[in-house]
Amino acid sequence: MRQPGPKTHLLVLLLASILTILIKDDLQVHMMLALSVVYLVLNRLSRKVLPFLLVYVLSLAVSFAMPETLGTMKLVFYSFARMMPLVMIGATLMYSPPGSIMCVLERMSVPRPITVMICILIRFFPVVLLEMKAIRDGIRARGIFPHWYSALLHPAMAYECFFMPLVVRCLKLSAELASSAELRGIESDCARTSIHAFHFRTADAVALVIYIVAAAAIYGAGGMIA
Amino acid sequence: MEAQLSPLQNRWTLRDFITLAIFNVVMLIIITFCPMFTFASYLIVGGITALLNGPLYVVMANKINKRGVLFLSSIITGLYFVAYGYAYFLLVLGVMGIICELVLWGQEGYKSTLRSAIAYALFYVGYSMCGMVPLMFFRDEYIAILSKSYSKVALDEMLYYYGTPSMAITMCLISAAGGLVGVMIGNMLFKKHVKKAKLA
Repeated sequence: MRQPGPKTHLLVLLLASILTILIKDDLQVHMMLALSVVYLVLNRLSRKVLPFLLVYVLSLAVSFAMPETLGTMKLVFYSFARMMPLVMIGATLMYSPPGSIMCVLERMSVPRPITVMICILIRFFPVVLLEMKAIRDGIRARGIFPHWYSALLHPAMAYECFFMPLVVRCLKLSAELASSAELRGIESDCARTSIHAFHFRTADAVALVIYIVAAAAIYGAGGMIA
Repeated sequence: MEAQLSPLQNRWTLRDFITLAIFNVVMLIIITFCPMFTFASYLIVGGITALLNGPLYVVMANKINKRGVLFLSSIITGLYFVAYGYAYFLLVLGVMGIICELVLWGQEGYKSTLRSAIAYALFYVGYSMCGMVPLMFFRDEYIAILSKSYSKVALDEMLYYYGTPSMAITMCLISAAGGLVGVMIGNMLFKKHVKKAKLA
């Protein structure tokens, strides 16, 4: 069976955002996480489920293990865990082919600059995180900060050593990406075609209906818990 | 002649949108992780975020150098928080983005260190105010919503910082100072590394 397309992911993300605002109880958050796991599995992203689950469980565990006096930090970890179901739905968009996202947005009459920006915002989160990791590895390999506390002893140097390569990398990435996009005819006025199926089909309708029903059940469960 | 050229110079190209998006991705990652600094105090989160994002903003502003950089960044940041369920962030940041653009209005606004620093500091004042605005206008309803999700200790601490005028003003001042210092450091690093390498 065909997987749901980017249009469905966008609609589900919108629904998940609304549900995140509406739900109040911890049990509802767990149920929403389970729903996000099902959505990821249906989109053949089973491999990505475990890291998300680990982050969720760890954030909740840290939040519960902290004493009440550390209210602020508890809040940060709790909020982080609470956002995990939403991040998981966002991941389906991150792993969708950029061409299909652009095609769908263009059919929805979204202006091209906004389409390009949305695609970059969705797709570049993992890329930038990898770049940050590469810079950190480079610093370690060169022995600039030999111990874990060395960066704390020289914060100004750590700041410069980390941020300047990141800035230069961002400049290079933007130049390379812009050139590549221009060469591929991003500024062409012709209607865009796509090798990926982007029409709203049965699989999309089924996924959307299942999500709406499950989301309504999760919201309704809140009233029963109360 | 200059007046005739300026609308063309101010026209955004796709390259500018790509640069803006990539830099905003990095800034959003920093914004996401900076609340960890609440282990020290709520007061410094806005300031630290502004300080860390300063060099990125300076390079982005100098590279694009067109009207709307800070406004679009505000909208992107606002939309990012809307996805997490904080819709009022978009409203507050949108208004602050317009104010920032007014500060930068005119020729070479983004190239002027002082005006750029003031606008950037204002943006982070707005970012800090995002937690205060619902308390100012819908205090009772907002507290009722929060009390269902957060423990009493956490809620009291949050209300102490966001609901007490002296704390709120201190938070805004720290954010503004973080923004000004961030742009200052950003300019130093920009001249030392980026300009020298002719990258922007």
